[in-house]
Amino acid sequence: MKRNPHFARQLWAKRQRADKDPGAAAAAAAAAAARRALESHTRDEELDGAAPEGQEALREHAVVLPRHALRPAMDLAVFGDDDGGDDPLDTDTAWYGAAATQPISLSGMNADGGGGGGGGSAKSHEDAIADLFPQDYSRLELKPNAASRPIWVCHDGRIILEAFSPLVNQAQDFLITIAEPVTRPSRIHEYKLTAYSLYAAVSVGMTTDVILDVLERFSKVKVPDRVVNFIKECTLSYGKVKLVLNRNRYFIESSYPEILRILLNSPEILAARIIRTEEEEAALLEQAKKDKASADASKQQQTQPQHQQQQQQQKAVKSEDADAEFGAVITLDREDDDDDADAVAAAAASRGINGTSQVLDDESDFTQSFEINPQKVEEVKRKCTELDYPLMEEYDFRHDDINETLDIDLSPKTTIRDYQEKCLSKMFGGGASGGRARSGIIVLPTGAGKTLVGITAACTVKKSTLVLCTNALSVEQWSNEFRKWSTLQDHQIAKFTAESKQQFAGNSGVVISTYTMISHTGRRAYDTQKMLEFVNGHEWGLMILDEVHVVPANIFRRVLTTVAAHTKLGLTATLVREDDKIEDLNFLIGPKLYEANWMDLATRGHIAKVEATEIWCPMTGDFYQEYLKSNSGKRRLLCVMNPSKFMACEYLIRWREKQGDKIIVFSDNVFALMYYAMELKKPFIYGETPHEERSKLLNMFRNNHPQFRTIFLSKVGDTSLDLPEATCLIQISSQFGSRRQEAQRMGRILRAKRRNEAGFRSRFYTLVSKDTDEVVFSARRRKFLVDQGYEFKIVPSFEALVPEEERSALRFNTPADQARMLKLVKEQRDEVGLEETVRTSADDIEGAWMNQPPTAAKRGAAARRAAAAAAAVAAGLPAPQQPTRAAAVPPRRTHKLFKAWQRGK
Amino acid sequence: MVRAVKGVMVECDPAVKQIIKDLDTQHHFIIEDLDETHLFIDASKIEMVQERLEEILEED
Repeated sequence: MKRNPHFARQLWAKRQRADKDPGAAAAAAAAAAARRALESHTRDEELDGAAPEGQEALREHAVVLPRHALRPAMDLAVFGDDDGGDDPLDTDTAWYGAAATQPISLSGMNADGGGGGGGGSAKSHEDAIADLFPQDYSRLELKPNAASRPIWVCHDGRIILEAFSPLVNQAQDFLITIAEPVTRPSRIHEYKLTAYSLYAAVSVGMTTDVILDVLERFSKVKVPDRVVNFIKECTLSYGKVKLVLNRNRYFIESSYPEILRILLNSPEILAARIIRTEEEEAALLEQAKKDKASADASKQQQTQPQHQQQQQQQKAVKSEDADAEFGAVITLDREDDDDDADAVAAAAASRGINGTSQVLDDESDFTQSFEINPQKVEEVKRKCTELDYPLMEEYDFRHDDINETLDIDLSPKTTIRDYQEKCLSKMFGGGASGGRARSGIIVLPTGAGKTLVGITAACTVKKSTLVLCTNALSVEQWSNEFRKWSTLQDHQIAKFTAESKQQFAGNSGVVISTYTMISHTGRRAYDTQKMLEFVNGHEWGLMILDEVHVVPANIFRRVLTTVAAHTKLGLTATLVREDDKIEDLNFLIGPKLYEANWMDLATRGHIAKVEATEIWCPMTGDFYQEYLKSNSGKRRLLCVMNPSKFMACEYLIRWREKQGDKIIVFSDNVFALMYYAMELKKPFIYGETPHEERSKLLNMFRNNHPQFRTIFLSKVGDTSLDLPEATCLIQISSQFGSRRQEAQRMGRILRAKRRNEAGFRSRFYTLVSKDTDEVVFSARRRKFLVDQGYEFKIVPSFEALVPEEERSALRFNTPADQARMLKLVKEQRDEVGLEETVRTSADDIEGAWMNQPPTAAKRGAAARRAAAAAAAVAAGLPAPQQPTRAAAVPPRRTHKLFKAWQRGK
Repeated sequence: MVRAVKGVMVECDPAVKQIIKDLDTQHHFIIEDLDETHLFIDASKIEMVQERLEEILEED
């Protein structure tokens, strides 16, 4: 796309001349007011931060703020949604500048009352910019006391929150319940109402009226009808149907028979439904409680009043037979819940029945249900969501007397923080529906105590719990945490990994395993098979899914269909994926119950404050020349091996080590990782590093060993390693625009213990080679953290980072050294530039690589081993000072990105 | 014999310098490569260089 920074300005000037309509000024009153409110807070930031990707424009600006933060101001003030996404950034910049200085001229847009179709009307004004903003918000009327209300509700479901308003806490609590946070920088937050978020709100007990009422109270403008209708549509049908797991069988339950009928009209659901004969039913129920199925069978398809009468008759029966329970039924039959003494009394009184000694149904209106095939649960869930009746999964754990209660409590010294309590209250629902657990996902940043939330949930449910993690290491961590925070005894915890296959003693306990162990379908060893049968045969009260975002959907499916769990709790720090598989989690696990605000936690000292910096390292002339000629694999390598990047890295390590920081350096590229680490004589860990060695190195690092203050990590460090006390993080290669990876890496420094020192900040550096593809990737990666409210500082040049007197001390500061490095890079095969491939969900990663300071003997062995594992990598390991072999310069190729250049030749 | 050539000194960052140098392999206008960020080029070709450079940077 061509970018012309002057384009918009010219247009603007042109419009100024053409647009002399004075009468229109009044029409913009609302817009101007809106803008005034926002302008003072956002204007400076707008001008600085409008174009994070436009590198040229950015050189002189040190601070990058999210573009999202700007949109609200713009939308509300005048236009609307520019969802095009990749609009020309420079045009934006110019526009903001112009808008800020020329408020009155905005009126031109509304002169002919274009309303929602602003685009069309604007054309008659020869206004090209208006096309970018098809919606016109300027006619929205502000409420009289708008200034004291904190939010704006746009009619596309977006909600803008003024984070500087005194009411922000209440508004934020409310919004986080009903809407998805889109971006939360310091002053203006954006939320979005979605069907899923409203579903989550309903499932935690909000009603349609409450949502509308509170929204109206907080909003500066009248809540648009479209939004009202949307909320009604979503919430009225939600939460009406429940999926209940009872004795390892799934039932769909509802107190509205007509909804069940609607569901059964769908062929998919009909096909999934299990109709049992009376004998089967009897057999199934035999070991449980007294069989009432045959009696129920005759009562199908009856109208509600009749049901009630019959229910009362049955109550009489039940009083003789207090433990009678209505279990599974054949068709649209009734199912009585277990009894609840309080509700019984109330219900009995309200019906005018003499309730003494009678054990009654606890629901004021009774429920009906049908059974479905466990294999098809997911399909049914998806279908129900399509039909706008998403299934709500609830588990009445207190009245579950079939599954053995697990004797578990938080240990007395454990305290949980307020936000953790908030998470849990969402999960267990306060008030009337207390004592029921729902499935869902809780999003907390790394270091904020996700594990403790999981453990507390287990202590609340007090049933057998299955914990699934991504690798053996986290299995270890979970079991340690269980021991630390709860009263659970060793014999009640079972670890199920490739190495250990214990079962817990007694009928209930906690099993901790990995996704791969549970989902693998191939042939298994005898004891594994035994353990799997045990896991699949058990009815779990709670299943905790750690790091839910990394697990491929098909593995989930397998796990969730083979393992029967009443409640599923997903835990993650980053609910983003580059593919759009996050939506899948909504019906695989449940709605997002809670998402913490990172900035808020940081301010309150629960996670470390972070200073994020991006450093732009110029490519040296020779490297850039080579870069222009290379293909993409080699290009990446050239970017990472850029001498000024190396120097910046070396400088940062020295400087931060002196300040007492513990540093992690991340590189996706294994060649660069090893080269940097060996040059700087620092330890490193990558995919091939054996388990024992990893833990040895990490222990040294943890225990502040003087020579292990810095550690180099490849992608394996992103999730699978536990590094509790790093305070500084340097990324030397960030090849792809994965926001999740960026956030996970950030998580490594959030739990820093030193955070309590006054003014302490963890540091997060990203080194980017200027004028290369890395700039684009890095801008993309930043987005997640920027949306969480982090500000990135940019150091635009190497000179600005490293003081003059320090430079000479750095390696590779002479042309001769740089030439040596370039030569080495040239010798490498193109594949070396590609990133390491690591199996993220592997139980254990096999491999053999000794990570020792390179001595002659070791080097040989290392090279041999590496050659076997990764031939491409092995070639790149001469000792630092060893003269490199003379090698033929590879044939020069020109990348297709430079076609234009080719054409010019 | 002394031959006088009129030239223009161009200052640019190292990356752009590499692009200009690559152009030079076609059109031969660089008189002297001064240092990392400076080139001395034929004054008569300066417009052509500017134009071509603009094109390349635009396309990027």
